[in-house]
Amino acid sequence: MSNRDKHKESIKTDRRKFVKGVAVATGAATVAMASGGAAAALPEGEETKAGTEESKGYHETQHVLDYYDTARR
Amino acid sequence: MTAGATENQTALAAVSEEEQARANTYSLLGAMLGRAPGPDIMDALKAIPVTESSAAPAESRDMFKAWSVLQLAAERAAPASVAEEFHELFVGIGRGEMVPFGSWYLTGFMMEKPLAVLRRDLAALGFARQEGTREPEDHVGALCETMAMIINSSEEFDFDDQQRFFADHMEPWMAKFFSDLQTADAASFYTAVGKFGESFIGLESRYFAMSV
Repeated sequence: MSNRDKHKESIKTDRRKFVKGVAVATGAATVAMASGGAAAALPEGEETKAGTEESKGYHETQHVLDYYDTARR
Repeated sequence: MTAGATENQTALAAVSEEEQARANTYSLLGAMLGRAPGPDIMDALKAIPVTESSAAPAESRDMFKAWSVLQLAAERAAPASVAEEFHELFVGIGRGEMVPFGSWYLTGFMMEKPLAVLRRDLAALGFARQEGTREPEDHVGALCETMAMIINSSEEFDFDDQQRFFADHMEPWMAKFFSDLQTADAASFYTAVGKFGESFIGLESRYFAMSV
């Protein structure tokens, strides 16, 4: 590994340590976040959401993160 | 299972726990800012185990506190009052107390150049506007959710892509937005969301500063 590569790797390690400072096990919450949007939910349909979605075919990512919903009033 | 789905599972598996936590935090912010969070989101939020590592740097302690305050606010908040808060803050009549859009924060007007630049960049990244949405893409919640997608698509986007998106579309104004949210008249649960968002954006700024 060149010196430059070593430097890059050590920065990556620093970043990981930095993010690990507060350990958050958000895993289970993801399902709720994904389904919460699909359910959309307020009876009057109070949504102000802008939405973007990947136009490419990452279907499973889309399923997990696709809680955009159309605005309904 | 199609080949595409298998590749995608590999892509998801390649995202480390730490990256997943970052992405899910963005998702959580997006979920709370795009609509009044329903009971499933509030329950999930309350159930997230947040632990402070013994070696945590000073910035992490601030984030740990922000998580605690947010979870406590979620415990205290009645769903109906959260919905009412959301309405007053972000919907209103014509507009809510807050105007959660990048163009507005950066220029004083909606649908301005920052939005045009964002649309260009979203297209370049391969994101398409969801049909039926009524709001422009520079909405604080939409940007958070986009960031979550970028982080999770580790096969396609790397640290530099994340950094560029953050620097161009989020860092210039979101800290101010979250600060404003904390002092909004209608905010109660959302005061905690504001504190949480401000802490997280600050942490992300420092994270992205750790580059070559």
